[in-house]
Amino acid sequence: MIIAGMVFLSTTKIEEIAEGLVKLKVPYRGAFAFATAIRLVPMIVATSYTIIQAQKSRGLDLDTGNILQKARKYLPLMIPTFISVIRSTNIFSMALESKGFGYSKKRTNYLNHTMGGKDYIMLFLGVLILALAIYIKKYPGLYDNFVLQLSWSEFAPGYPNWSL
Amino acid sequence: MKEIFTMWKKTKMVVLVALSAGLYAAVLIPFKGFVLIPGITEIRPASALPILFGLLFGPAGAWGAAIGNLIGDFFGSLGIGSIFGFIGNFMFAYVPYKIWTNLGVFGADELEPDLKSGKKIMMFVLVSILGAAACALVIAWGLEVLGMVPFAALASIITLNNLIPSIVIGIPLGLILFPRIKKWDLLWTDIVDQEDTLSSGGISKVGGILMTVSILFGLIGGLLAAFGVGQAMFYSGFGAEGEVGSTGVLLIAGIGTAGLIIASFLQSFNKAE
Repeated sequence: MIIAGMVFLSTTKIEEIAEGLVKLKVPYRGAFAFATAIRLVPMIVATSYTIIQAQKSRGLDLDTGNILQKARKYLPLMIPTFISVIRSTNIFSMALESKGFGYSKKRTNYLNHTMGGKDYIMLFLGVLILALAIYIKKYPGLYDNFVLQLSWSEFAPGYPNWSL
Repeated sequence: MKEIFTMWKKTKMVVLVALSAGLYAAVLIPFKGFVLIPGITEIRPASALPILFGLLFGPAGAWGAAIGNLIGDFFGSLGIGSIFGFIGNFMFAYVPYKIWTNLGVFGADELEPDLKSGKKIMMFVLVSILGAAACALVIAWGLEVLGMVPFAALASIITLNNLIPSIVIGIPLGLILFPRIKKWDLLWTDIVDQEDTLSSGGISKVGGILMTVSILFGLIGGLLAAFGVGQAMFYSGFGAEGEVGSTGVLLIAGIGTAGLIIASFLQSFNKAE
């Protein structure tokens, strides 16, 4: 579950996330905000990196000191990033409106995905894994019995005091 | 509460949701490695932002905090608890701007969160405490319902984890950001329609007081009930082996959470006079 989010983000286009949310009946404006926020994260990180480099080139020493001293040096550098991002709001909203954002409730999409056979198989597998995970959570002995069949089971943490 | 839905009509508010969420996520993600409870929470200096977003951008800040936290969850703590994380972080930004207006501390002409007086800074601290506690209450109650994490441990860790950055970083950041945001006409009260802005007094004030009481009752009552079943605060809460999912904790924290939501609806009646 912990890596599932990263796998999802690294294998799915942002436009596809927005389209998927709309198909799940999330209002378009909400889906747009979500997708735009994901798109903005690397841009914000790049802006802060540029600001840090600019300050370093002017002699700011960010490499010395303990972790608290470093944090105190980094924090003020975040302010120009915030201001630069927030300042773009007016231009961003004007750009959106000039391209017809919110002009009509009925929208058409360039991207149009439909569910195919592979999608239903993956969906079924996902539900199966979820059901298995819930079953193992409820009856942990099943998992313990399975692990005991493996040749490396004696190296597993907690062996032999499992829930059997 | 209606402004959290009607705000989506305004393109500028939609953009503010995206920018707030992007900023929150961008500050959350680098600290995902500083884990406090694996898969649940980590050190969060980004917690300084939702209170400010709420006070400055109103409902757009609340949606931004919720979406930003969800995006942050994609980088290491995504799970069933993310649903409560979404609602909790929404409340983290939503409660401050509601309480700021509706508790009746300020007159109609001094509602701007400019933090220029001692009274406003004290109020900022109060709304930070209530926002952090509301977030902690919703998430800790939700994970107690699911039987995942002890209420006392999670509620205490989230409250402090949210509160300290909100006050230490939030006040100077607010002092710097407010004049600029005001100048750029980005205060939420300058963007939304007049009928969607808040006015203190009447039922809204009752809602504000009920919201405050519900948060404090839910969190403090929930903690006391949790201590009664053997739970403990902070990290010792995980070693205390107290019962997770006990009826008392679920009931008291649940009443607090329900009160918080009912109070939100009460504050929709903003034209009480």
